[in-house]
Amino acid sequence: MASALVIGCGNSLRQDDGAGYCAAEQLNAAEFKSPVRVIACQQLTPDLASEMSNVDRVVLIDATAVGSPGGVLVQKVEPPDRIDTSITHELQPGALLEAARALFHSNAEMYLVTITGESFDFGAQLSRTVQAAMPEVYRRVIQLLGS
Amino acid sequence: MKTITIEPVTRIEGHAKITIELDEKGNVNDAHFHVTEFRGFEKFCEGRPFHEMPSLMARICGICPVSHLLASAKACDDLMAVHIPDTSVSLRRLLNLAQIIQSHALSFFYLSSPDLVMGKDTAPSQRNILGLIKTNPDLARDGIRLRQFGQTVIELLAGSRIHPAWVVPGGVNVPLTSETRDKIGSRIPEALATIQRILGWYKSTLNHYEEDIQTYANFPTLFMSLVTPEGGLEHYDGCLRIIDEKGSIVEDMVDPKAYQRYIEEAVVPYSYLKAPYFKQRGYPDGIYRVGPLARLNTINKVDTPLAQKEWLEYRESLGKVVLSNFHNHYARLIEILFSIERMQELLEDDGILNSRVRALAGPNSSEGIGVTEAPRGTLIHHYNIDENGLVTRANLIVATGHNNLAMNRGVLQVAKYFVKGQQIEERILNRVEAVIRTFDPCLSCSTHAQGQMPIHLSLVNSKGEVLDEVKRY
Repeated sequence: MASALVIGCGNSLRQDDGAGYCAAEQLNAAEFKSPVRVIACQQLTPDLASEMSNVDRVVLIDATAVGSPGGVLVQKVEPPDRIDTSITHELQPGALLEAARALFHSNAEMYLVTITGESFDFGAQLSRTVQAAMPEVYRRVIQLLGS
Repeated sequence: MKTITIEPVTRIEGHAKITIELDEKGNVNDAHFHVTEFRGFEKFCEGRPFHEMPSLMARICGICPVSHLLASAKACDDLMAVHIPDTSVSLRRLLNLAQIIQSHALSFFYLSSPDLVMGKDTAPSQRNILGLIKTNPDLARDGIRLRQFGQTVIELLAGSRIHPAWVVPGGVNVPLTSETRDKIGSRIPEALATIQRILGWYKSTLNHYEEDIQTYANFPTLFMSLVTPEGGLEHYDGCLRIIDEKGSIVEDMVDPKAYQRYIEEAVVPYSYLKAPYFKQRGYPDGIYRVGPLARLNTINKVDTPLAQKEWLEYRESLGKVVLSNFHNHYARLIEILFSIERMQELLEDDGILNSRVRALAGPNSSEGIGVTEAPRGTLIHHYNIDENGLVTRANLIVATGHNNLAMNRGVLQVAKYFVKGQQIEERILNRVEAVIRTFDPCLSCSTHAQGQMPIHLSLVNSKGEVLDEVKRY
């Protein structure tokens, strides 16, 4: 049974938007001291809530357009006071945490690791700036996993 | 003439605009469901090698890539003129069933059940799967688990949930292992119990939706689907059957490759979505519907015991031919049950582990046609190639296209019932959206368009002047 879950999301065909997806694929091949499950996905979906039911910690990795390109930030995610969305194609990390708690009795702590992208154009390659910053993403994730 | 426009339509796959036209007296005269994107998949694949087609066509949609993959691979089998191994047929069937489960679960639980449970007049920002978690957590949990089951089976079989490359011309590229078979099999009891629980709940609530049942695309049309040679429920092979509104068979055991003898595609000026019709009745009288409701209307039986029992009860309570599109919800649940049972039967056959899963060949025919039942209805891929195997022409008719005329008529029916006056009330917007959702349209597929699916409703008078307009993004 995994004690932690890593979810990397993004569109791997839109350059740096795929940084989270790419990170998950890399981490999938990594060895951790404790059991870790890694999921690479295009976007957050409600199905992921049930994956969170038996883990202590969840680390989301995603690209952001906010901040200085290549910058890596870690934030603790809390359930939102109110969830408003009319488009099912959009699920925020806090809403996912809330769904996992409400439906699957999850007690997991959730952290969001973001990396600021430089280019979100068509293409399967990360920008050089983001490529250079990926080791920092892995370091932060591994630090959060305590491995 | 006065017109109402609704844009965007939320919780459907794609982007739609709806116009409601009023006559000089202010009564609803006509309504149009516009699809306003163009993506051109049929055009840009010209010149590509035919064996690339399944992977290219899967990119049409992120919800139903498996459906396009299968129809495209079948068209390529036809181009190669091969008989693919029986095991690969069973494996493709398994994948299609998983696709039906996950897509129907998405449609019923994520997109439609918030309307059913919370009521259509709840604010759209609350009336969604996240709102459902608070209102009916058991239902939300069941929905999430069922969709996850379908997605997991796709991933276990094909390597990834979205755009898997497992299905190839001639079969599939990797046989099933006993370990994967057992993993899938171990999840079936929970999935079966879940869908039976949901069916029980849904049937107990049916009498709450009387007005919706009466007004949501409740009119006579033809219905079309694949059926088995014995007239049973079929999603991968079989022959086409067309019935009329009374249940009489109009065409039966039609070779799907002969679809052009029966279906013609009209081009309408207000939409990129073409409007197929049954040739023998002409346009627009040849209006027909495909999808879960149509499938349960055309068949004589369901070949799995639990789903057969449910189908008999469905027919007993609703009639031999069910006309209201609202009952697509019920039909989806029965199809989920069938899919899980059928999946179990396929996995219990030892032949499913056979290692011969692919026929290899080059192009041997200049024309290939592949037809399957996608979750939303009959899916046709039709390709022509040159002597080098390069695509010279591609034509796709997808479920949302087949249903185009019926969707337009459905919007008109709701508009006539609910539009009073020259302004768009919130409840009109909600009901127009809801009737469209009963078709579970996928506009990404139907126009091969990209983008999210908001709604724009316009009310236009007899002079073409916009009286009121609502946009919901």
